[in-house]
Amino acid sequence: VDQQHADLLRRLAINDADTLESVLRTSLLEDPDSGLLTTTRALVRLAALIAVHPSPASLHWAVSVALAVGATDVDIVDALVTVAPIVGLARINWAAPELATALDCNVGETGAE
Amino acid sequence: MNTPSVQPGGRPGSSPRKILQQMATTDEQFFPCPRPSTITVPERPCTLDERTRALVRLGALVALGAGPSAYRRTVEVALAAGATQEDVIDALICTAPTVGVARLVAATAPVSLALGYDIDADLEGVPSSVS
Repeated sequence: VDQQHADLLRRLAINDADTLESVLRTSLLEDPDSGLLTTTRALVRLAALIAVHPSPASLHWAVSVALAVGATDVDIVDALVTVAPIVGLARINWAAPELATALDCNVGETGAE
Repeated sequence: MNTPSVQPGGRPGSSPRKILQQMATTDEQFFPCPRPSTITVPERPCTLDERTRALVRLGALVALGAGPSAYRRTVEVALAAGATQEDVIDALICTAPTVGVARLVAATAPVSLALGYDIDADLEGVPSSVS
């Protein structure tokens, strides 16, 4: 792999938003035609992301975006709880510690902070 | 399924046909909403309003490629909670970069149907561009 493509792969792997937007030829965040609040859109995207079992980099990015547009820690946890019946325990058990890390909240191995 | 050969445990009185029907139609008695009975979650108030929660659920359903009944029920809840048809469509669209075109396209018809727009029936009256 030449340097250019190695750089591209590295950027994709770390969920570099600019690179992803360039590759997908679309904005990951902006949608001037949407009537939804940016926080709602961020939580919907987070829910979709949890469901597809993303890389931790993608999940952390989605959480950082949600926080940046005004969602609270509790909103993010509630989004996880909301999709729990849909995505199942396996996804939730994987996503919960990742979300905790993204929220800078150490839940430890026992689940107790 | 006239002669069930296996009786599912833990669901006395329910025939396999009934159970499958409940699962296929996202029956609330089979799938207590919002949390399944097998998951014990401490009761706590949710900061998200019902409309937002329904749209969040829609995002997860699109990502998983859910069945029509799941979309119908979720859209019904969203609309009943005050979401507009545009809100539902916007939520569908905003998942696109995450779930990809295939999932988005697959979800469009059942979500549209849940909104009262039967795309398939509509398209039947449109001449195909492919002969």
